[in-house]
Amino acid sequence: MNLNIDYLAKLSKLSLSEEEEEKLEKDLEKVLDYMDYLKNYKFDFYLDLAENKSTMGEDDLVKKFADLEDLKNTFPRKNGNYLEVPAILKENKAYKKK
Amino acid sequence: MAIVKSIKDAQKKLLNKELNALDILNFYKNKIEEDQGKYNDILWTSYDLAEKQAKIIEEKIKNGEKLGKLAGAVFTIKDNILIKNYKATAGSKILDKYIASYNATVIERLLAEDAMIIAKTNMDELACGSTNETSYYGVVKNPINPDYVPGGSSGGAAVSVKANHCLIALGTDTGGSVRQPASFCSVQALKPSYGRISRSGIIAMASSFDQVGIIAKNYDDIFLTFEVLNGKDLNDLTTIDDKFLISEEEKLDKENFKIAYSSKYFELTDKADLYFDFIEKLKQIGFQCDDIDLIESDLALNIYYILQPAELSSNLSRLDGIRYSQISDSNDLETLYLENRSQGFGEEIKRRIILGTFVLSADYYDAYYKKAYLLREYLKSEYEKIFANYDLLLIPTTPSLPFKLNSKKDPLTLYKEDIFTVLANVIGTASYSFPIEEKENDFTYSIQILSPQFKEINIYKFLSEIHK
Repeated sequence: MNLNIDYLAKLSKLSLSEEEEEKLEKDLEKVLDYMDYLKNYKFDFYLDLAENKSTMGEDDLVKKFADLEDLKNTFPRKNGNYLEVPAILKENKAYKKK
Repeated sequence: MAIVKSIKDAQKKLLNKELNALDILNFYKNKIEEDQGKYNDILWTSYDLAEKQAKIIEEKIKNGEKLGKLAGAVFTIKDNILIKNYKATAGSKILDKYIASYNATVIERLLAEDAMIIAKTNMDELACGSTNETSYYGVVKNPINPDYVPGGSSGGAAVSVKANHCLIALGTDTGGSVRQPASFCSVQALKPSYGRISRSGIIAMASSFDQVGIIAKNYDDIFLTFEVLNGKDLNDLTTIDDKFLISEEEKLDKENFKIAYSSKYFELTDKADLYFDFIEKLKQIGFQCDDIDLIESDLALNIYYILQPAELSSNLSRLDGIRYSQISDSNDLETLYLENRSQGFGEEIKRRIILGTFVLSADYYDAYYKKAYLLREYLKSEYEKIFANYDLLLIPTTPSLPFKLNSKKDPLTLYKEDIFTVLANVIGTASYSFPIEEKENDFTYSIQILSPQFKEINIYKFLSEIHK
């Protein structure tokens, strides 16, 4: 098994120190060794994951949030009614009008 | 000694004017102030909210109006349950500045029945842990012996009940998180069937396992609270239409009430004899108890520790620093994500996120996530067969008594603490844990009573019978 912690951290948006990575690798290897237990079980039935709706209820209902101000108060950074986030698209000078 | 023994006792004393609501509230308030920091179970108090409720109760008594079902009962709330205008950190630095903008459905239901909410309780970070040592706000200590862990993740909740900081505590239970700490603190707890209590306003950990749980010192208080909390909620479409109601009329017919237990499971604990003695006592009072062969407990634990981190890693992706609470002030998006999540999450959360991401990753999805998912369905069907023949199943709550703080560090060893509790979450049934020894101020072993899904009434009837 190849437990590529570096790659998994990237997928999880975590930056880990070398020390953290080493410890994680050791801990998780032990956990995955224990999970070898599952190899005792072979399947003789088929189940479509997408078809199993045992925990699904009816369609979602759209409701208006009682007080918009309360919701806005949970924005760490805001600009008027907007939740402020760092820019994703940066200004590209090459296309700037002369 | 607490000022009131139960909800019923509190209401009797309120109505005959022996006590008023503020007297009751002040008793718990003083206890919290007196013990400040001693066990670290309380994160933030909500005295103003509780006082408002106390005044409503006093008004109702003055005007001769009917009291709510929970009038006189003082509650603590685990910090992953939202109360409007109060902090909700779930024990994590990543939510340190988050203030809830709405009430969880369970909070609305408590307030509507005149409950007094006094404080929010400490917990393992984002409900991950079985010792309450992973909270950003420090470890919680066991009131029976402060050198020992109180269990987790609802450690603060169980301690608040044991230490008389409240009458009843709400916690959450994803893999044993109310039953295990209740057992370690020698109190009682109910994890209802999946779909009974709304999860709206609960900070999600593993959504197909999460359920609100109730901790108290007696079953009457737990079931009265359960009756108030359960039932359909349009904000959580997994809640079912059928509502649990306490029914005193229906008598338990011992001849047609069948209990299963597994001696194999009892023998996995440090003190099997205690459990066998308990079964003997049940037989003596006329219960029919059969020793049945159960699937090894390791199967449920394996399924749980694959599906739970998978669901957690996906649920916690919302904690990115953009919403709720922010640590980094970077103006670069990628850096903002990385800094918030790396500084905001503790070691155990990072471990589970990585594990969850691993079992969901393309190369390993079939071998882990999908296999565990299918085995969960298999396990459910196997237990359906058992519950077709039995009304209750008795298994231990924990393999051992509480251990010392800082004594167990290896994650796998800690995961194995959940060996008996995860089953009810994996198959979605109800489970009630209570001590089977009577010791005033010492650790005790507890037993779990599992009922078929949505058959909490079996547990209630059984407890009423043995407490006669």
